Amino acid sequence: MAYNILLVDDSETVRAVLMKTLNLAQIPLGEVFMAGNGREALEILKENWVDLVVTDLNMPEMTGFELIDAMKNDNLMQTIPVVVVTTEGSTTRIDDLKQKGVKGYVRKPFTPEQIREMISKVMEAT
Amino acid sequence: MEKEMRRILDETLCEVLEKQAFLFAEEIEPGDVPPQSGKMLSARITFAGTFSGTISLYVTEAMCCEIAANFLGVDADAPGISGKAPDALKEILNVICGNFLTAAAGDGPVFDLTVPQSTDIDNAEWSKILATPDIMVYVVDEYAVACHLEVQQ
Repeated sequence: MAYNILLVDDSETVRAVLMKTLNLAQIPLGEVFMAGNGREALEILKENWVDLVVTDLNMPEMTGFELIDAMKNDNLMQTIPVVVVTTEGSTTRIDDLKQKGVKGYVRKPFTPEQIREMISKVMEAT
Repeated sequence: MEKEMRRILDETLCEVLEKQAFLFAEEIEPGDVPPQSGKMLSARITFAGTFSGTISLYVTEAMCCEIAANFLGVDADAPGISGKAPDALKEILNVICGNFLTAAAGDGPVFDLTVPQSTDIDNAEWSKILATPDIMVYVVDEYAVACHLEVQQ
């Protein structure tokens, strides 16, 4: 089965690195969607089937926190696993994200191996 | 307190540049900065929490291209890399700030960060920046990097 993945980060460079990591990770990929903030991500989620969301938190217009809250309040979107890739290091915030159903967390700066392992772990569990 | 925070920022900056961009920074005196040529950029991020403040980074566009290229695993003169220079600078500053705050305050407190903003700077501004009290200056290969921390308790 090939997975459709949505990458959400305001940095074009980070999105490119994540895309490259996915291509090298031997994860069966379907379509990979890109969004620069939470609002763009929600638009993609409304129009497309997505199996996994990989998102940053600190973004303009609509943050990753707001995106996760919006997904949680939607019957269909709340079932999509979310992995957070962020500079956030506060355990208070990370615990809060876990309470909201976030399945994985990778801290920046990350290695491609960390991303690959986290995505594989989350996809195997779903 | 501010001196200790600058020490932590110094360690964090070197670690992030090494881990994310495979670049090794060595701290130097502002008076020892090698002449820099080409366009220069600055980026700024503000944080608020247990303590609040701003971190600013100042570098040449060429070094930002190096950061972007190393991050992506391509050559610095690869097509499209120069267009990614401001984005790479903002991203590295975002990562430095997030890691600095955890190193300085521990992993309990919550901080709100602004989205980093970048602007071009000219030679006159660069000279002024190097004369700023408490400016932290590094050399990375032939490039100079300046960093400034401002903290309000």
